[in-house]
Amino acid sequence: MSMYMEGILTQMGVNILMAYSAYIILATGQLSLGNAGFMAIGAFCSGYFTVRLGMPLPIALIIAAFTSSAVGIALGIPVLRLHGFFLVLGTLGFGETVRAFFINFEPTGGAYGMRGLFGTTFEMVLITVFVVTVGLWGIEKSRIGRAFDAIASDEYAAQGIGINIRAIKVMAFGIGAFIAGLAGGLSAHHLLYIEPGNFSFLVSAMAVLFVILGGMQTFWGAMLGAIIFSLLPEMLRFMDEWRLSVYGAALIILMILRPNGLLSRIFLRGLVVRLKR
Amino acid sequence: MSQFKSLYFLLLFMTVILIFPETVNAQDTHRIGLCVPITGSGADAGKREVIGAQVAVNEINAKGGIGGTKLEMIFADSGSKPHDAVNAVRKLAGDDKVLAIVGPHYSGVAESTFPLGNRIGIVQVAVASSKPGVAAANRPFAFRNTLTEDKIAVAVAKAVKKRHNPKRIALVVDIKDAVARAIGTKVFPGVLKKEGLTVINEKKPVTFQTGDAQFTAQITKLKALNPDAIGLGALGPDALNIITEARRQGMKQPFFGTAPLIEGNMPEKGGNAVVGTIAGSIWSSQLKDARSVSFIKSYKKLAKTLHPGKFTAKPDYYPVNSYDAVYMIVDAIKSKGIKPGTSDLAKKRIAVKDHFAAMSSFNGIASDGFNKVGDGKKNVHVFEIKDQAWKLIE
Amino acid sequence: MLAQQLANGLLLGSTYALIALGLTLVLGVFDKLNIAHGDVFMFGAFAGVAAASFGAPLILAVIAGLVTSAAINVLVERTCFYPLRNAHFLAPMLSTIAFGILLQNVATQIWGSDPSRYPNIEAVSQYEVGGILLSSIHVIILVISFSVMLSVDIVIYRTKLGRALRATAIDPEVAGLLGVNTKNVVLVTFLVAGALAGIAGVLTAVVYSQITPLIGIRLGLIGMVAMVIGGLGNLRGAMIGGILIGLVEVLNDAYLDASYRDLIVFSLFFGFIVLKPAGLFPQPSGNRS
Repeated sequence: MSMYMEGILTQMGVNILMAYSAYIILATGQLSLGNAGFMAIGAFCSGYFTVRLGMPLPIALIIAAFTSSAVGIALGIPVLRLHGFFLVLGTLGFGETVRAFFINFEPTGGAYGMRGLFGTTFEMVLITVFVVTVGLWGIEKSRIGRAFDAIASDEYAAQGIGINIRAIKVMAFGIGAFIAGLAGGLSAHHLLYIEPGNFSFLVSAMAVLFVILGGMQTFWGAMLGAIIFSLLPEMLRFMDEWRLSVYGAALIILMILRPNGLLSRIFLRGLVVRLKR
Repeated sequence: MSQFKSLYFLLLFMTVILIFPETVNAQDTHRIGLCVPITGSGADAGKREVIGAQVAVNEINAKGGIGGTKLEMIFADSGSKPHDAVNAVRKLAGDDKVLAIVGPHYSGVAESTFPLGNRIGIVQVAVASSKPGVAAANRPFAFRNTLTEDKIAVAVAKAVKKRHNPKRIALVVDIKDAVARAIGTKVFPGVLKKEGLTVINEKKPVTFQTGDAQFTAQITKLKALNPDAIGLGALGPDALNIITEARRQGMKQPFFGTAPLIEGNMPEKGGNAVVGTIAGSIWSSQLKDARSVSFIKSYKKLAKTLHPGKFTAKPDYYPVNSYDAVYMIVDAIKSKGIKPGTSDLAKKRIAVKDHFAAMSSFNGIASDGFNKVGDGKKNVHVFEIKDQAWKLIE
Repeated sequence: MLAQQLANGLLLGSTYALIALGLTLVLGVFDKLNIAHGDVFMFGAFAGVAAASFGAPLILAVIAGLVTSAAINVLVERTCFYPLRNAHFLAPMLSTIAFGILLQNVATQIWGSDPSRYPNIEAVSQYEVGGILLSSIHVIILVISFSVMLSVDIVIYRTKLGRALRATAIDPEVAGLLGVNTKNVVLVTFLVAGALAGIAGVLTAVVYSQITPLIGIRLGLIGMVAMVIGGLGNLRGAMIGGILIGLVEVLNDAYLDASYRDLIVFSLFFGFIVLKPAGLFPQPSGNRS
């Protein structure tokens, strides 16, 4: 595999993780447009541990992901009572606040950014994506997954059958932030340098967009969306300066053609039946 | 079921991508890469750099190439963003198997692609990045055919002192852009003090962020300080807005800055407001030496067909840097006797690096080689705005 | 200095108010968030600058910006909202983000990434009123902004069209039964919101002199902040919210450091949503969840 392909696939893996982090929150009938904030926390935390404290990357990644997760839980609680656009704007505000925080936070370089990060390999990203995918698959099949479904389809009914809605919702933020933290750490050590400007609102929005385009009923949809839309900008390189215009147009057109995403559960079931035949 | 069709289509789509054609092992050309932005915030500057580099390539090939072998330049868009640029460098180095890369443009991007270049073992020659210390932090393969701002600042400070003899200087600093911030917080305070000038707000400079839409608050604050002259740690477009707003609020004092001020056609856009502004740079289209004149002519001709447009019609110093960078690589090919083609690529790339590391002098339009940490050695020219143009101060 | 800074804040805030007003109009009437609003604003600004560079006087430039932005905003409705009316509520919103990406890149292709400048703005006279320095251009901007805000207010709260709009906002079905053509109301809303963004765009280009294709990203976000602080869906609140944010930004830059600006503005934004989601001026007729 060429180093170009390796680079593309590494960033694709990071995007898949970001899509997962958006998906898990969406799966509980909530949403977050602030996952770039978790990504930033994962990136700067892991960077601080590896560069300043000399920790090995895998350990730094895990600590950073837990830190991000803790912040996610802390965010999950106050936003519990928000719905609809309040939730959109609240999480968006959180993400931007985190970015603005790191601009002023000197231990990780402030606006100058942070150098000396390295160590993300394609294999490492592959393993992380695999483990997280298995984890999500496990969650989807478990009681927690059914609780997610119940909450997403009817919160009151879910409460009626004894599901602790608050705990599940906050947990979703915790898991989402954990995954985004991993993505941030991996991305930082792939790009070899990070600055707060890398974690803008657009990064959060793209994560959610991957899920919506891929199909939000199953995490396979999130994965598919992330795969297609990480490859597209690279495939469009032949368009030269029109590359990103075409990319934007492609997103809009696909949204019109398949407003509910590419994959649905019914479709997946149909696919399984076909393959078994 | 149409859903299945679309999935098959997608799978086909992906497969095509995954078996990207590996580039053929070209034996008959010298192949170099160019990685600058033609999309995103730096698109216009990047397009000018493309034209500048292409002028060099065309000249060389018109003279029969290097020892009879054509020079081939392969372009990859850095998209003004680190993650796009990282892919671009990987593509050029890995798939296109180029000998060395001209680019990137931004310091923030170079921070990512320089360490990557070290890992791959390929020389990059940045053409705009001037954030202090970026090349030094990425030895041995990182080079910047640009001047760090401290040297320009010294020349500018001397010129300002001679021209206006100010006593009290106030600084206005961009806190977001790393280069501008370094100029305002580190470079200017030291340089100005050495020239015996007092910086009245060194501890608490007037601050703003790159691309701010308004500077009213900053100028009101600046006006209250009542300095004799104002030093700008700012990029060209912001500097223009700052000076315009200052004139509107009735400030008459002169402004000065370093190379970023020369960017963005300040004299034409600013009209009377910017007259008397002093800045330093390594090159300007005002220079009248034979090679500059000939470059400007070739550039303008090529700009009519390659990326034509309002903002690419005239060269600034970036395309000169990319032009010179191409010739520097050609110089390495010639003096190290590098053979065309992509065999033994790693060794050839190291040869380029070794040649660059020892390039203490070079005869470019605006390039005199590299210093020990890989930054460019260049002549500094100081300019003042008069008659809607930057005029050279002798 | 404080008086001058307050005047600066008012000027800045009046632009934010116009942006927030358009966002609020769409959200209030139609219950949809248009994230490309900032980019619609940017396109209007460029249209105005383009008109002015062909020699158009200020008023024609403003009209050029107004028409362009209004047209683009209707296009946003037709491509991002109408086809996705039955999808998940996030889908159209995210589609507008894609539309924003498209607008930014198309603008880069048409007008370039280097800043464009509004020509001929030096011929201004200065006034000093009680120690506050104002230029004629500032006065014109303030007059245009406030008269636009006032007329929107009058249209919404005093006219038949306004009643139709408000009725649609409260309950589209009932409004439809009462004879309101809700489809037209939606189009009119987008048209007006776009026009407001276009005006704000041209005025910004005039006052702050330079614009780039990426200028809309931050200003769109600031519009959302203003909208939230003023009370989601409340038009008058959005105007006041815009002016307040303008004042906060200017006072921060004047007395603190510009690097704290985003931190302060967005913490305020986040704090408001979590602690006081109804904003300073809760929506009176409210259909909001």
